[in-house]
Amino acid sequence: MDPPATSHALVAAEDLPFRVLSDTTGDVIRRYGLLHPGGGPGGTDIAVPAQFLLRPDGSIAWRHVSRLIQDRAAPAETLAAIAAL
Amino acid sequence: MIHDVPTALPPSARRLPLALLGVLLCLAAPFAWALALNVPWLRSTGAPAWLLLGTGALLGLAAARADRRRIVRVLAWVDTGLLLVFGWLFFGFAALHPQAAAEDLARAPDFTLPDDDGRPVTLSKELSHGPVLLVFYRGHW
Repeated sequence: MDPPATSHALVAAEDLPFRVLSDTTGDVIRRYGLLHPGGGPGGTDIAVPAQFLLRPDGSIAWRHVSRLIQDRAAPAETLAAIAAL
Repeated sequence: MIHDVPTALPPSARRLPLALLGVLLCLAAPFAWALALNVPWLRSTGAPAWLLLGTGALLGLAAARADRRRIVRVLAWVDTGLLLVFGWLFFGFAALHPQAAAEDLARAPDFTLPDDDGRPVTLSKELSHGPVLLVFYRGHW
């Protein structure tokens, strides 16, 4: 739920080739069922880590929703899902 | 006349190496888990850590049953403590609780959010150009 300015610094520092969006109110995070209340620094609300691979019609081809802080999809899993589209 | 003299533990009953091995296995558990993070089911279940912690604690308890010396019993408690701490980390501290929508959604709800320059980005518009990988992350700190 970082504001755009925080993301801007991150995009610049890491030279990210994708776009980083800001959901400062958490509305979209809530709609996707991913709110982690008080999970951020200083007890701020943040998102549960998740990935959704979307077909052009908006249907979800593949997803990974973390159940543990350490549980993230490995890059190979995401790439395999993209290859299987 | 028979005196009840306290005798040293016979070598056959000494289990200190076994107790130390138990502690070693317990301490290695988080590292075993970290090495398995690329395998989805090992990552999400924590199986490597549970296996090592369980084995380590059993070795520690077996050692303490045969060898009642304080050091061996303390090590068995250390094993049990590490198992409990890991259980708390796994099921308490590190557990995330996404809401049902995260798994139930069949389609991605449309939205418009600002990018890092403040320019609005609309999901449906991006999808008109092709597939989209939508990543939610915990923020940058």
